[in-house]
Amino acid sequence: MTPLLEVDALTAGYGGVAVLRALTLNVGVGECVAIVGSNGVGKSTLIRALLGQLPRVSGTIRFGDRDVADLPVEDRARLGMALVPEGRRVFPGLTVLENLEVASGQGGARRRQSLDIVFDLFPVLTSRRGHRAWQLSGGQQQMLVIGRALMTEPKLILMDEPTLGLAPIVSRDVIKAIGKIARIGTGILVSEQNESRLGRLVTRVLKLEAGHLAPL
Amino acid sequence: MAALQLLVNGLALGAAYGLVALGFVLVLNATGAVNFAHGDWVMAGGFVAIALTGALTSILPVEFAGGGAWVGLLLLPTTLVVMAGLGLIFCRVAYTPLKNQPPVTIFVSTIAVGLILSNGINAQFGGAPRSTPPLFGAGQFSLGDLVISHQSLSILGTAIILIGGLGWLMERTQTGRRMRAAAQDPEMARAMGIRVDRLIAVSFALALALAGAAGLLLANQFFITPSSGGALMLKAYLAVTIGGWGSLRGAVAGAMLIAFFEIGVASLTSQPVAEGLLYLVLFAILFARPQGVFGEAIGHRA
Ligand SMILES: Nc1ncnc2c1ncn2[C@@H]1O[C@H](COP(=O)(O)OP(=O)(O)O)[C@@H](O)[C@H]1O
Ligand SMILES: [Mg+2]
Repeated sequence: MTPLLEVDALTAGYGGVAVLRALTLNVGVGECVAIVGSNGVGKSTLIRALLGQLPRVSGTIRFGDRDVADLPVEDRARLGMALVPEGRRVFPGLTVLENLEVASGQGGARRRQSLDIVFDLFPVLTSRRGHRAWQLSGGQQQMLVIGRALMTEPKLILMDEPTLGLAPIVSRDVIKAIGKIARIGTGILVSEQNESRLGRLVTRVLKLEAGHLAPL
Repeated sequence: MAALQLLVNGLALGAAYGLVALGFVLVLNATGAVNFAHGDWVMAGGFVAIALTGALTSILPVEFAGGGAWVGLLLLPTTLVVMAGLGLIFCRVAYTPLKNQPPVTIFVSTIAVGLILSNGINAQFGGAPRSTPPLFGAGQFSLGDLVISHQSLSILGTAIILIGGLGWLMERTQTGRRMRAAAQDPEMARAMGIRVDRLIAVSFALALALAGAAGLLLANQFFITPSSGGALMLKAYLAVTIGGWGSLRGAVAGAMLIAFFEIGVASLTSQPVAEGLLYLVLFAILFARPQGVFGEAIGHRA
């Protein structure tokens, strides 16, 4: 499998306290990897460090064929990393449509094409496209944030507990959509608590414990 | 007729105040910090226009330079460009080095810039009141009893174009959408590849360009001195508080209300009474709607 993300000996944390300790991780092109671990073990920390929201202490992060460990967040995003953060974080005052459009690095026909893909994936957003994002339900916001990530035409989406706090029925819709995204060949690194609810759609499940990843 | 004349003058003044307030809101939204130098930048814009008037008059062939109207016409775009450039420098000097500091640190830094501006301009131009040339010559229309100066109409026209242009940029373009997104959640905007720092610099450039336009327009009818900044700052602050902190629409509405009191209410009562009444209205608005008239009460759902 062609490597997409190669992380080696990554150490990162907060104020001298290492949360990740010489962590190693590989994600291949189009692969869907789940990271499970209990609350506070460092899943969000890992995702933030991969995107550059948290400076690493040491270690290498290769993405595609580039060393991205010293690049600022926006450059990593432009190379094809997208984020579905913990707690959703829509742009509350922008409409649903604007939340999607703003993420696109493309104009014209190509942006419309991406919009079609997102609205196909989440039909419920179509009827709410003119609403301000804060007016959406939690599940709809989560769909919007996943859609927003797709609008950047990413190679890898980092999803931080995407079903957290959602009703089971909504959660199932979100998981189904993640499966569809994985099937079109977008790489996915998704964190979850304790055990993976994503089932067969993940290629591998890794457990985060004591700052390391290990196969489950 | 007198009422109609007051209306035109009031709208023109409100439009000019609107430009002042919009510039203030642009930087507020981009940085989350109060730019306390904004009034001084409006004042500085007036002096930039005065300096450019001298320069343009000496460069232009006499037949143009003599007429005044041509100088005024060239003055607007050159003032906008020079002020936009100063906006980039202002951003670089007073904001960028402090961007990771709390807003109050940036606030203090802009206070320092405001002081430097008013003292520097005082040293250069002296403290005497100065004025800018009118935009399209100094004439006036009369329609029956109605007398409207060209300058009032120029202010109104210029402000409508600039405010409309800004509205179009913010609402209809990708740059504007990105500026709004970055204002709401800069960290998330970066995570989508948006170059937030660049948009912040653009906001400063736009803000100072608008300040320059306001300074140029206002300093024709009302003289300016290097210490005019404080009063202008207060008007921007009031307009934004009335209209809703962060709202562009609200800033213009608030500015219009201030001008309505300064011209309309003052003509019926007196200047001090009108000012007192304005503050009463401000309190009433804040009491009824603490987020301001156009302030968006962005709610949260579970
Ligand atoms: N901003 C922060 N400052 C200091 N410590 C933090 C911060 N964020 C998280 N931590 C600590 O880092 C550890 C990992 O947190 P996190 O990555 O959020 O875990 P998870 O996402 O797996 O629940 C926890 O012990 C948490 O207390
Ligand atoms: Mg977490």
